[in-house]
Amino acid sequence: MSLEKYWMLFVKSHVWIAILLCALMLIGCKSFDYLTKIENNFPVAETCGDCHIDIYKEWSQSAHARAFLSPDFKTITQDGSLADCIGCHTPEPQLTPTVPLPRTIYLKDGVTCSTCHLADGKMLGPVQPTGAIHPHPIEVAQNRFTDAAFCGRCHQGTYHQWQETSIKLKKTCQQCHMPSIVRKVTQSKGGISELIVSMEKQITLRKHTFMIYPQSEDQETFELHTAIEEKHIAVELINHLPHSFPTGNFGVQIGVMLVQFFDADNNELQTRRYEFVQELKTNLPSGQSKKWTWDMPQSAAKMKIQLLRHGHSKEKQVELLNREVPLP
Amino acid sequence: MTQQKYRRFTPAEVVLHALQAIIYITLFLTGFILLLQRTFQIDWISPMSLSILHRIMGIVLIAFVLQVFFTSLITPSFRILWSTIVEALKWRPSDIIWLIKAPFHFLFHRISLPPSGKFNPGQKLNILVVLSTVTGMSLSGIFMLVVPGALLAWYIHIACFICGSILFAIHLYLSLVNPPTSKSITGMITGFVPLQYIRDHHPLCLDEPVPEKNHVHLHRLPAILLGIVVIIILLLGIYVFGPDRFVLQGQQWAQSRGMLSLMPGQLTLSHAEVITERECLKCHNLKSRPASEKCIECHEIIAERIQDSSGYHGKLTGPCTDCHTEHQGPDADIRSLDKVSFNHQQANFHLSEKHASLPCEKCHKVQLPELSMAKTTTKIRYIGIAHDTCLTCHKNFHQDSRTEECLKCHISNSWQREDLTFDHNRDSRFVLRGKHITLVCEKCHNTSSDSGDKLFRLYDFGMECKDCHTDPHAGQFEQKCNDCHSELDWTSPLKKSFHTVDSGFPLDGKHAALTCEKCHIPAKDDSRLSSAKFAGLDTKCRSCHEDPHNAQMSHSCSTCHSEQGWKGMNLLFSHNKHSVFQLDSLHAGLTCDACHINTPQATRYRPIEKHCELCHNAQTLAMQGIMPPKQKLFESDPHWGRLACIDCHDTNITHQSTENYAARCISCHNTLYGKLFYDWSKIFLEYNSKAASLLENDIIQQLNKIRFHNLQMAAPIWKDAINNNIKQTDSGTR
Repeated sequence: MSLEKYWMLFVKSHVWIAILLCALMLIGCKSFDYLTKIENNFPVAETCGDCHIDIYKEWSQSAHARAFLSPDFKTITQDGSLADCIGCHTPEPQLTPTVPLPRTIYLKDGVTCSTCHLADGKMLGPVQPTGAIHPHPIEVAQNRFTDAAFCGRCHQGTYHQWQETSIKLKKTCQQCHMPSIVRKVTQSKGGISELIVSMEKQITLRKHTFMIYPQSEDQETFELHTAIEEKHIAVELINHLPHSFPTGNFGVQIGVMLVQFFDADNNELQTRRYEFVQELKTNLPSGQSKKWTWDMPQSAAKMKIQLLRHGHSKEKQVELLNREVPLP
Repeated sequence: MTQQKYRRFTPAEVVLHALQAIIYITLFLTGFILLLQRTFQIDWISPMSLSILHRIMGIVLIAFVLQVFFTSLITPSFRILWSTIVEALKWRPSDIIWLIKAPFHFLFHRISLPPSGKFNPGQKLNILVVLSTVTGMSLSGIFMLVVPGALLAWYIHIACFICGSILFAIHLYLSLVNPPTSKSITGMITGFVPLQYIRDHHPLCLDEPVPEKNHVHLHRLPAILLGIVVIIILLLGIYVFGPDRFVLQGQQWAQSRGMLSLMPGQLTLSHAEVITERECLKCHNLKSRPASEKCIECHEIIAERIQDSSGYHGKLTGPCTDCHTEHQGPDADIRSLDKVSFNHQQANFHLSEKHASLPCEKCHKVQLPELSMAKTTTKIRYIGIAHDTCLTCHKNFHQDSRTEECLKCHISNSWQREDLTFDHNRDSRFVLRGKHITLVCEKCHNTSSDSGDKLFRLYDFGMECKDCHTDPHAGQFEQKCNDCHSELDWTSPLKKSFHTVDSGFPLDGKHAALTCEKCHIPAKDDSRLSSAKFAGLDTKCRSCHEDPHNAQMSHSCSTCHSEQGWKGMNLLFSHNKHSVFQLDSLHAGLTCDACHINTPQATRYRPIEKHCELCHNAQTLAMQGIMPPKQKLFESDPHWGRLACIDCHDTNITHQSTENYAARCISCHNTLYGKLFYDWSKIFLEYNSKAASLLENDIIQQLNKIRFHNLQMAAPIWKDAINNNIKQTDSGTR
């Protein structure tokens, strides 16, 4: 026989060994039981992040991850010891109609993956899994995750406002604060995980950033009209959010409308600042508008309107709107 | 003369035969030596190494067989192996005749055998026996690995060994020694044999006509010679081994019906006395591991323990054999007790610390022969010794027959007072109260016995005060101690019962909190209070208190003051009634020293000008996150610049309540903020009480000005102040 035939013979006769080894390897792979057990141990976000890499990255930078570790929260609640607050800040996975029960372990994870996704020893998600291998049991619960009421268990004030909103504006929380993205549910770190992840399909999922996003082309959140007369400027701001601006029953949320007038050489002539604060009843409810009429300062060539939102610290602000209006 | 050659075996068959030979010979040799060493109790090669090698080769054999099997399915050159098996299964009546005639053919030249094909019936039989032996050996071998101690596996293995060895011996003889057939050895080396050999022995392979008689010469000489050599070697072996020993071992082996060969080692002495070599099934099972049920048939105490789930064995799970391995020789102690790491608390007798520090032998003595089934062994007994009589080891210090039951009062861990289960108040006639409780026992109970030994008398003591105490009041009160005193303390109940009811001076308010020495000064040469004058003291205010107002006020202290306290709400002084300055609500909430300044002589009460410079600087700075003097270290409070002071503070009322403040929080925020306000009020109270002993008062006042004016600032600053000051006082700079 030629060398090649000998080689083929060798390979063919060892196929059964290869099959046996593969079977042993797969059986010997670690059990993923711990991912869905809540007893003494509890899957922490980092464990979920071993496979759900992108989602974990987004979540870990979001406010949900900081729910317990936030220094403001820690100070106000004396390191989380005031019991009324921690039900929402460190919730248990159990589904409740209203405020969740507080957990007793892994508090530093805040509002963690298991809070929304773990129930009865199964991981819940909004979409059908596309991969062939499930390391943990999966159940599909699309209605739960696409319902604003799910977020409303904790964000009660905002949810209440959302319920009262006109149907024309009523996007769900998830649609704006968890923008769509086409990707796989898990990502690989190389090796065997690459093989497992490659079996998944790319589908439309949602980013877990839970962020407040500035105005963009596809999301018209605010409508701004400016009417310029000879000596007056009328500015109208209409709120197209499905909740008031700002919103939130706890913590500090301040909305700021900053209007700056510049002359032709870009020197600042005048600044007007208007604050929207829910507690002072100066917030802008959904669908409503606020009008201002001001005198136009002399030699004003340009007006810059900014809509901002900040929390306790003025430095961390989100710019929601930025428009420059040339003046005659 | 060049002989014509015939291809008897293909290269594949040659190679596989050689590999098999290596494997089988290794297995045979290791197994046989193991068997021999066990049967004759020889200590030549380490059984462990033989056993490991045997097992490895067994696995190699199984892998080899599977390898060949799968390869044969794929490649044509291995198909010859299947045709060999098919050949071996084809049996005709002439084959049976061949088998019957073959031994006679061996002895008598004349008897001729029927012609054979590629394999003669003897060879076919060999093939079948090898197949079944290999299967039997492999399966029983795996059985042995997986279920150690199952005797059936061993029986099968030995049976296969016997069959296989017989045929192996015949195979080796015929292929190596017997001249007519040993010519064919080249068949398994090169694959070719002389054509004449085939004509003589396997005529049906060829296309030639089969001769009527075969012309094979029989050589009996080699067989006889070989037989003699084997017998000589055996006799030599017995001589070297020792004939007496050989006979003895033979007898023992016969007594055990051959089981001696199977045992990996002798039984420990105590088992060996009760179980003979034949009774393997007293512990072993045929198809499963030695079962615990068989052990506890004899070891009754252990059985009891397991049933009651008590003691060390009662808590264990799993079969006995997990910890106890037999067959380690007669001197082995199979109890595997590690005295250092054994946790006595798992046994029925709880070793207190004191008992645990003793060496084992103090309590665990040698077993009495009548308590064991094995009559001649005397090992130390661990389980089942009695443990409830203290006096077997300990002396009775009370020397009183009323004190024989030690555990009524004492625990096994210590004799110390703190550890007594004896309660003086419950268990004796003299109730210990107050200071009597703090005394050490020896103060009352300590006498020597007649022989001079230390004795701890418990009974028959006197119980009146004067039996132990002398009267320091020199008879002022006769000797009725109990009228004023109790066992708590000589001084503590006195003010409450004595002063108010029995003396002419009621102790009200702050007077009640004073120590007695403040007014009843002890005699100079005797510093004890009991020596002081008690009756006949002056009761006017001025007899004890100086006038701090420097005669600014009237002489009658009680217009404004009471014994409840000089200041605050104890002050009966009403600014609007007793002075010319009417205080409005906001001013009424102020402390006096906000307006009435201290001068060297006394605090200035009258007359004063109306200084109304009220600076609430600290509060407004705090709201901006500024620490005095001007450091902005914190974020401004969210309410700063958005609310006015009066949105929270009501100037029309004094002592604005927590509820009032909380209601204001709730009116803009929500109910949880009201709760937050209450929680934080409580936290600030706790901080204040902690700080009271650590920080200076003016620092506390400054800290209290922050509070809700900037919660995010107040929390860390309070924590910092308390923690830092704790450090300072620890280092002694109080």
